[in-house]
Amino acid sequence: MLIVAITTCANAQDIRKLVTITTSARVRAVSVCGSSGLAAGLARHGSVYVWRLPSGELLNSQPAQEGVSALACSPDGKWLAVGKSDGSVVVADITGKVIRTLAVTNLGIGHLAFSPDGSLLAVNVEDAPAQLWNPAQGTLVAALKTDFSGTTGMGGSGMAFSPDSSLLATADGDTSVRVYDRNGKLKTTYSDLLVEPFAISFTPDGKQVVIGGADCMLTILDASDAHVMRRLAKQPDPIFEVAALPDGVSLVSLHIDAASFTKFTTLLWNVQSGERRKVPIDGAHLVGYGVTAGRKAVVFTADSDSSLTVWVFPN
Amino acid sequence: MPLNRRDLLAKCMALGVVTSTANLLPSVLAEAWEQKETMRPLTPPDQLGPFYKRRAPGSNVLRAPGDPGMPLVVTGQVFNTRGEKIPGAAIEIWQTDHLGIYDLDGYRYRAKLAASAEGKYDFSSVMPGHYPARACQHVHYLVTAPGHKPLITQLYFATDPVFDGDPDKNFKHGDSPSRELIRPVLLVGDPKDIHAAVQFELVMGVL
Repeated sequence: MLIVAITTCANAQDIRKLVTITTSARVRAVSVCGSSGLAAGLARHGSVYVWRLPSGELLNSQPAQEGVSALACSPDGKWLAVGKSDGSVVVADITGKVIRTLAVTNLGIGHLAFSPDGSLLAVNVEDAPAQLWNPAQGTLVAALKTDFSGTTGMGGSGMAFSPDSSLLATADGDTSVRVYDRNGKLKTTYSDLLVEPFAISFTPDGKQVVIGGADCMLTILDASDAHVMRRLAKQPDPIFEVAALPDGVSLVSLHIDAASFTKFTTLLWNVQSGERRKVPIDGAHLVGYGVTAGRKAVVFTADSDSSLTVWVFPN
Repeated sequence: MPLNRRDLLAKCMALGVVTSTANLLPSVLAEAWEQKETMRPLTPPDQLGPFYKRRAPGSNVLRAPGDPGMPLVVTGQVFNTRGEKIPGAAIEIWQTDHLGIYDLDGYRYRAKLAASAEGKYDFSSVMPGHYPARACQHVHYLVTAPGHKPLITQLYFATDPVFDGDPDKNFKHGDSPSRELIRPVLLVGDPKDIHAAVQFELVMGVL
């Protein structure tokens, strides 16, 4: 039997505020540009910002555009991918100069994610399965399949690459979790869930996939055959985002209450002990997560006053 | 003796009232006409999530005795775009309770129904409540049938306060992707046993 200790008051050593960035419009999504020391943000009205970390200095901002729905930054900090509601994805350099436009779909683009080596771009299409693209060549690698509906993207992107870029895992609306190779060939499927998974992340060694969703529980799967390795204690609220931290033992999960959709709780888990504690960023909306220079795990939260706070976890 | 469509077309073509640029026989034209008349527009799709749950029970009685909220009866029929009824279509429905809360642990206000031999379905429930993430009251649908594309959609109600009594005018106040999904609500029964009645036809695409 798993005995879980809960610490109700925050432990200041868990997470600390790195910088607060003032924005002219509320930021709805942030993509960390790998170890390049940059991060890109998408404002609600369609502006794109690029900041330097850890200073929060604004390097570049692009004016508001109609119909911008998703943003991802390549891990080397050279490219931005901007998804639009008309189904196109614009690949641009970091200054916004357009390199190419991918005609992905006639549906909206929900989320985007570059593989860690930058060679692949996963595209979450609204109400349709994800697609895998080669951003350098502008070619479709694979259109993935589900039994019905698409890849979820309620909080995070519903898509996660393994750290070596060899695998892509998707959390799908038909309640399955699928793991593909980098050519889009299905490797394994986990289909024992009754409700939708929303959040997905690979562990730093790439051997496990962590999922969470409407079942309010984190489940750790073996990435090679999708068998359940571990389930962590069920929580009161659904999980909309999960991130495995670089230390290999910690997970961060974002929970949103299903009744009001206004109460956010962030938990920090120790996978080995099963312990969890609340992280003191409750109430703010988690809009991005990533690992930046020095293998520092950072979380971005958007506050109600058009400011963005960058939090950093200790190594 | 009344003319059928084929005879009427043949007569009109002979008199030069109707001409076919493609040099088609009246019988072919009549078949195309008939097909056009029976075609039905696809039910507009809507988002699935976020709280779909597999393996819902088969009962069409979702409302338990004493459940608070306005009783609701939904009836409908499942067709494909060719106008053919789809007997046995699997219709999964899920909604919140009257307060806007989904049951994630169990199966309250969830069901998986089978359309009748005539493609008909019905269920009794309560009017779903509002919740902050969505502007409109709604019932989710996932409809599947062999040879047809899965249909994922939602039913909305013309009486929803968000439309302020005029869904045509105030359609954009809500979050329905299509006006077609907002259905009229009829209040039926005597004052002691009143319920809301809604018809919702479902039209699936053919694979």
